[in-house]
Amino acid sequence: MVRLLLVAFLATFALWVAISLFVVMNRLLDDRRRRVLTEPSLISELDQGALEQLALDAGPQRSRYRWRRIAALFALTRMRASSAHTALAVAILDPDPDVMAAAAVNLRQLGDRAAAAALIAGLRTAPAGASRIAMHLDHFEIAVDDLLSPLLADPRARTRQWAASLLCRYPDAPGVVADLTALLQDPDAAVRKAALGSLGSIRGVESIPAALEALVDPEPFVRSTAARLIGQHGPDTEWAKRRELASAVAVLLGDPTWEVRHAARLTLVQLGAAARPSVGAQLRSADLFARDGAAEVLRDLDETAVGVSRT
Amino acid sequence: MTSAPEMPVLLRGIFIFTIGYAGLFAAYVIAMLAVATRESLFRRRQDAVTDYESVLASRYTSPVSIIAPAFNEVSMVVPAVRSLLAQQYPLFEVIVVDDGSTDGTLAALVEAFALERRHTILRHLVATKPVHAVYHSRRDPRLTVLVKENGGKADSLNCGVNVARYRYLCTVDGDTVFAADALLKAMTVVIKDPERTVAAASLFGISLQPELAPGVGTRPELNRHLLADFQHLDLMRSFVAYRAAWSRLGCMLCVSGAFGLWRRDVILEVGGFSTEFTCEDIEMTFRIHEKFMRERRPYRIISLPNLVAQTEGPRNVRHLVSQRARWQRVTLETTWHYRRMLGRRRYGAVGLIGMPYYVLFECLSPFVQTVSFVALGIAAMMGVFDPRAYLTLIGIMVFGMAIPTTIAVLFHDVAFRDYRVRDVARMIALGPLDFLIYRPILLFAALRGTWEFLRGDKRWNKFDRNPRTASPGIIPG
Repeated sequence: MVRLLLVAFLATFALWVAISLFVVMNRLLDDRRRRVLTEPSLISELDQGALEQLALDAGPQRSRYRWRRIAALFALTRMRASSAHTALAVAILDPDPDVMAAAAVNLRQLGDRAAAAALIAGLRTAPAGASRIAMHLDHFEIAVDDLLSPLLADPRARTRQWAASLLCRYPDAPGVVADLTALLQDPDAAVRKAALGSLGSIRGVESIPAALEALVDPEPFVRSTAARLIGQHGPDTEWAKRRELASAVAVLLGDPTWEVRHAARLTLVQLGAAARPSVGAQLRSADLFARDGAAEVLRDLDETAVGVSRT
Repeated sequence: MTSAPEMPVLLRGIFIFTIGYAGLFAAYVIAMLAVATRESLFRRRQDAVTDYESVLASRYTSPVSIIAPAFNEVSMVVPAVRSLLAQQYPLFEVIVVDDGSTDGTLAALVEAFALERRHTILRHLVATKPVHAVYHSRRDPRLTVLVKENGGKADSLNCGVNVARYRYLCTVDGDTVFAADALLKAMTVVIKDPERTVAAASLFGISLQPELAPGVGTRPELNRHLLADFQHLDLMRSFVAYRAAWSRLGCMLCVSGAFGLWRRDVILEVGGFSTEFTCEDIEMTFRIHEKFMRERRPYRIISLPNLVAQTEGPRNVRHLVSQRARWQRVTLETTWHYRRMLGRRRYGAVGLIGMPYYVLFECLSPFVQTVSFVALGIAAMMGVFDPRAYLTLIGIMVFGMAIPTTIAVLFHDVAFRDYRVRDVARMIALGPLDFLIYRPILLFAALRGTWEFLRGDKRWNKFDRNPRTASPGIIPG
């Protein structure tokens, strides 16, 4: 028994020593290995056979070897190989989030219209991760508004939503304002919100009429977006206009949804002294939330609300 | 050695049971290490191809509400909040919840961040103790401080949930200092699969003075303090070797309170953090697993290997025992409360892998270890059991337990290459000493925690803050 345990002890000890030595040696050799593998010149020396193998590795038939495929995509992109676009266009539609994300990164790296078209195809039909694709389209090097505009009429609401959001980068694109304005009546609330947000970015103060209409949207997050838009651009209007805006927003102090009430409070503070009459009127509201919100806004406007009942 | 038939039956039974238990544990560890190897490779490769710059620059990156409960953290709260406000992330807010501190925590925050009291109407999505005051920072509009009646960490987190604006919550400790890329690294993984990922944890380290720890972009350092380094190594082994495997298998059962990412709608759906347990983090993780498994909804809770923070660890044995006793207590509370998941296929890997681990190797382990070592030690002294065999068995345990630790160091070093070689060597050398010096302390703490559980003790037993030094580098090394 002792002998058996002794053998077990020696084996355990030897295993631990071996692993420990491996850890240290692996670390000491690492720097040298990294310098070799990241040398750009090594990639440029690849011959045609190697290129063909890369193209093969980048294809969907290699889906079992996820990381080899991803590495091949990166290599093809770096080399600007002729097969890069095709491989990436397929990879952007892959259900694997890491393959899709790698494809999106590399398409943006390519930065040409074919790459943009592939990203937009992914935005329309990728199983998941549309936000990752939109992230890269949002910072794409060349203008792609002509590729995005047709998506505003896409039958899929999520596609319309992303297109509406991404088009805020192109204020001078032909017809973009009209198209976004039309989407304010879209049956999908997220599309309406995205369109409103983009109109606010593009038109600034001129988007306020659209925001006023959206204050009565049936969806709470559209109402809160509208209120915040008014808060963002309202202070740039003249006094009389600000009073009119405050009157419209003050009603939201009694909104059933907290986010809308919160947005209304912030907006009224941003509208400043012009909001006092409308907010003051809410102190006499039958709605507790409206009274509370009005009191808070007036406090923030350095007003006192003596005698306001909170119960 | 005395031949087996002459060994008293009881001691022989204990010996066989010990060998069997150790063998079962070894088999479990080997299996988990195999899975952790694959997970480590996956995360390393994933990290290498991730475009963090784009996530950082994108307006589509999901915003996060960071909630930091604080109770009597006057020495740590300002560095902790500074590290949170310094996060490299597109959009986030920081909500500090002062849980009725009596040591000047609020005053420190007011001075450091130019707080002014504002009247703010709060939501009451989850019931909490009353909030007495709300402060906003004039200097940084992202910072809000709530001052409430003392109600414990879970209650404080629920206060933060009520105030939080964004879809994701990051719950942290008020005594932890975070790397500037902590949120970015963790959220980038979460938002790759936002529909399924409902919670995520990430590795954090132990430091005697976290506020003096090197910042992001610099190498982390060991503490050069034996007890602190053992704790650091313990966490690394737990996250890198075990939790990585559980994450891959779908049975990650502890999103630590020091750094946890949660989807807010899920937290609200399950009713917020529970104030009925000693610690809220592990119980919330169990609760989400139980609910989603029962309802057969797709979800995942993941553990990431990135070192995101340094939290303060106990400097002396007494405080360490107090802390670990509390951890053992909450493990027992939670495992007992969710015992219906044990062994049931309905609960998938949680019921078949995670829960058995907790029962066998967390809850029962203190008894098994104590009985085994004491009984065999007595047998050795009596000559019933060969002392050489006993010592050899100890030797096997020393280096056998060091192997998972060394493999965890290997995984971390291969993935991040952040520690200096001398610190890597030190961590490896501490592996065998862990069993001889550190484990007995934890064993005692576990026994105490078990006794406290049986008595129904639910006190937090917060340890006193470590004495502070003026100059950096003395303690962390």
